Amino acid sequence: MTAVSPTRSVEHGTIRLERLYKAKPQRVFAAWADSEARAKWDVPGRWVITEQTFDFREGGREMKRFGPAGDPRFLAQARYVDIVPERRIVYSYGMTDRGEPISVSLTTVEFTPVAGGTRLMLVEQVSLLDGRDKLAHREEGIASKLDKIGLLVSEAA
Amino acid sequence: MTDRSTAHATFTIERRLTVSREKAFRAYADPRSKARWFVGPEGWERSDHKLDFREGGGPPGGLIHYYNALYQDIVPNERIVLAYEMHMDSTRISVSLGTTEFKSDGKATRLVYTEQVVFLDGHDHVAAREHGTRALFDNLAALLEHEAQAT
Repeated sequence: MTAVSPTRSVEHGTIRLERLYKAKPQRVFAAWADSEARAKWDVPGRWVITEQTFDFREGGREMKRFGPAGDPRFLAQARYVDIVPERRIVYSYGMTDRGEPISVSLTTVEFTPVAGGTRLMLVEQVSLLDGRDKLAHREEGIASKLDKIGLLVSEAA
Repeated sequence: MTDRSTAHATFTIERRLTVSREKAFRAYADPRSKARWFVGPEGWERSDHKLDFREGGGPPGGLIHYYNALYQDIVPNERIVLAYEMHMDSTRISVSLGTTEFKSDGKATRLVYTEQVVFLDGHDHVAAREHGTRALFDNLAALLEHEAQAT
């Protein structure tokens, strides 16, 4: 049997999100750097993470299996490229849905101290593959995660 | 404290290559072939050339430019997505996603390269990066043209 090869396509886009957190950059940065903290927010909405490895350092690679409860169909594989403590994180990651590629991203996260807290700027430059995801959908997912960080860092230290 | 900044940009380069998609992909991906077109400006020396990870070079006696790539998605004859970072000596100057698409155009191939890049701390800028990348694709197009004429 000959498999029908899918129509290949790439859609490039840039997502920009900003949040103001009432916590110091040190604490907001730790939400990314500390594996225990990150496991609490690193998935959109009510989705769940079923498997996750951590290696937060330049050149470090991580994987995360996640999805709706009972259907961990997504796999993300990331590599950290640039880490400036309490200032900046740059990483790239690829994502698959049941083994089929859906996107490759380059994400920049910047932490800036402001009066009363931290401004976080996230820019995700993404290549969406073969029509398996939409930019608006991806943005919604990331926004949900950033909101969870807000809840986490505003908890009493 | 070092002044930290980022600048994000996207640029696209298209080239019509006078060979089939399969040949174009091979020239692009095969290490021996890639060594013939993926080179710095004339006069640069290259060092430690491996397709997979570290590729670099620079003007004789000058700063070393390093190119450190990770392949993220490969569909033979159709698409390559890689993430790469550039260094000047020990300073990281940029991180990029490069998507190369190979599309059949009769007996020829239309190559579309899109780079999504973040420049770090004011090093380098998009005009220079695009200029340098165009030169690489000019090399590739010329090499394939030359080979097509030789056969």
